[in-house]
Amino acid sequence: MEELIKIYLPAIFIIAPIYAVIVRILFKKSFLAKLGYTLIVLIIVSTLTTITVEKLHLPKIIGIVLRVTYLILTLVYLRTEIKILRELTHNIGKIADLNLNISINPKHTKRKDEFGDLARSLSKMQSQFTQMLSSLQNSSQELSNTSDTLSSISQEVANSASEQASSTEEVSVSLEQILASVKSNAENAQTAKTITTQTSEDVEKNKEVIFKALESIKEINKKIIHISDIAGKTEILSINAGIEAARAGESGKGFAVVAKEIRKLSDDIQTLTVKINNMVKENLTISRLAINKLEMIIIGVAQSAELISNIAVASREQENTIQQINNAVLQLSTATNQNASSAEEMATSAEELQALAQSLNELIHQFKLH
Amino acid sequence: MVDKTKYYKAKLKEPDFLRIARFIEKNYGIRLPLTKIIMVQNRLYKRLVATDITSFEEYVKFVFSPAGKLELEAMVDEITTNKTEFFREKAHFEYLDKKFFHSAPRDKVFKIWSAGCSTGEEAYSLAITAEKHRIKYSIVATDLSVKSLEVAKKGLYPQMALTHVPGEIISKFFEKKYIDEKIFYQVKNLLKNHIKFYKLNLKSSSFNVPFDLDIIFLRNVLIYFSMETQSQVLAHVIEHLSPGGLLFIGFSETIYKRDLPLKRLGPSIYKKI
Repeated sequence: MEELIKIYLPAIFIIAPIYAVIVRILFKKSFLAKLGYTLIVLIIVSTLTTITVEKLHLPKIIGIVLRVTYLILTLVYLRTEIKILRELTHNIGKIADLNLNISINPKHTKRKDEFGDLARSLSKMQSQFTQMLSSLQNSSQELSNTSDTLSSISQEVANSASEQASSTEEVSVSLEQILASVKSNAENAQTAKTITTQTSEDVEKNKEVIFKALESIKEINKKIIHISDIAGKTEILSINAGIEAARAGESGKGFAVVAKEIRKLSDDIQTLTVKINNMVKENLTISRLAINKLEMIIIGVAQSAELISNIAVASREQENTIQQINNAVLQLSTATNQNASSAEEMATSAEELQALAQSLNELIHQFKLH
Repeated sequence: MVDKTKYYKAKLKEPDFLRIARFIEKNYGIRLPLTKIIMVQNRLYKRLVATDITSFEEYVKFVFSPAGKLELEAMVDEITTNKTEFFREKAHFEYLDKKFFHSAPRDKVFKIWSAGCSTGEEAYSLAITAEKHRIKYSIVATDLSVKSLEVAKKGLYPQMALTHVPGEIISKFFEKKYIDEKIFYQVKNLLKNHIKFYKLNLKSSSFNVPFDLDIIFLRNVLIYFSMETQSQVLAHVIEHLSPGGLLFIGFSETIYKRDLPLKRLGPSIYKKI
């Protein structure tokens, strides 16, 4: 036994440091190094206990009890060392359940072994994820809000575009009606122009008729002067006949009566011719007046014909212009209709986007951060 | 969600337009010169959307095929529909109000025809004018467009349509309604009970209208017809007017035909002799 001690003790005290160095080299700061050290300490203590029990001649049972105690102490030590692992696993489990609200004992993160690394990584993961998810939550909330706004704006745009479309359509229909009216006006003006032209020609013909009448009256005038002349000569003849009848005496008495009657007749004729002459003159004045009036009518009719013609041309022009305006309005209406349907589509897309943002938001909110 | 923009890219080409124009003029008397091509194109976009056809070539083919019979009616509706308003061309209603109904007998039932009534505003305006004088009356109101007649029968108008109608008339003959937070006015049965709305083509050979009418409103209808059709329709229409009855035509319309038994009473107002 003595010999055994002699060999064992030095061997242990030489081997133990070498073992410690090897463990240190092999496992560095790993938990396994702790295990290694614990193992050698257990062996040393156990050996020393054996030696002590032998030397002091103590009952064997004390050695066994001491050894069991060492073993239990070792196990208790290892259990406390391993406890961190349970804590960390528990936290990882929480994260797996999307709960980032975990607390890691700062004591653990200060450890230098793998468990320390694990605790630090977990802690880092927690803080990084929390930060990232928090900003993701904010962004998705913003996205949801923005798509909300977008949806209502595009709905508004769609509504006003469709209102605009129906308004332009109404404008176009009204223009179409105006167009029909203007066309009708143009046609009316055209007809009026034809009628006035006809009237103008008729009046012109009328003027010629009156001119002819005027000529006839002038002719009548000449003839009456001639008659008056004849009457004058007849009078002289009747005077002469009277003288001759007086000279004939009793036998000429009857003739004198005839001559006197003839003179009276020629007198009457002369009075009549004067009257007719006056009438003719009056007639001439009236006819000239009529011609003047007719000429004024001709000018008036010609002017109205011209005006109506202008109206006809202007109405046609108006018709063309309104047609062009209406075409432009119709194109506008097409464009507005296109816009309306695009806006409607946009509104639908915005609604889809809104739904997506909502579900994204819900997904992200499944993570418990605080 | 249907992408509607694709329909609005379609273009109506001349041969297809001419086919439609010939059909409309032949059957309904309405002239559609080539200048109306854009108007027709624009009005038919709605039909492209409704039928889910993306080109006018295909649409025209479909509409004139046996399968397109219903669509043909919708197409005619779209092309021939025109806007109207309450108390449009006011002078005519003033004439009835101040000169005609004013001294009219209270026991006689006045028979009135609103020819080309569109969405019914003219017929209701006539009814309101008659009601004002407690005149007994019955109105027939006809139009070519089934769609317009549906609106007319419903008698539901947006607030905008009654902008120029006096408040006391609105409160007496209309009921205010809110639909989708917008204000509408519903014509009361008090007027509706006197009016019959139905489809009638003025180009057809016989009209389902009484022959002893007292008043005919044929306003802003003739302007869409050719001169020849105008004369035919006019002669045909006044056959339904009893002697002494009144004919009202649009302000820009003229009666060219001189041999009609009509005496002019005022601007676009005629009396049958």
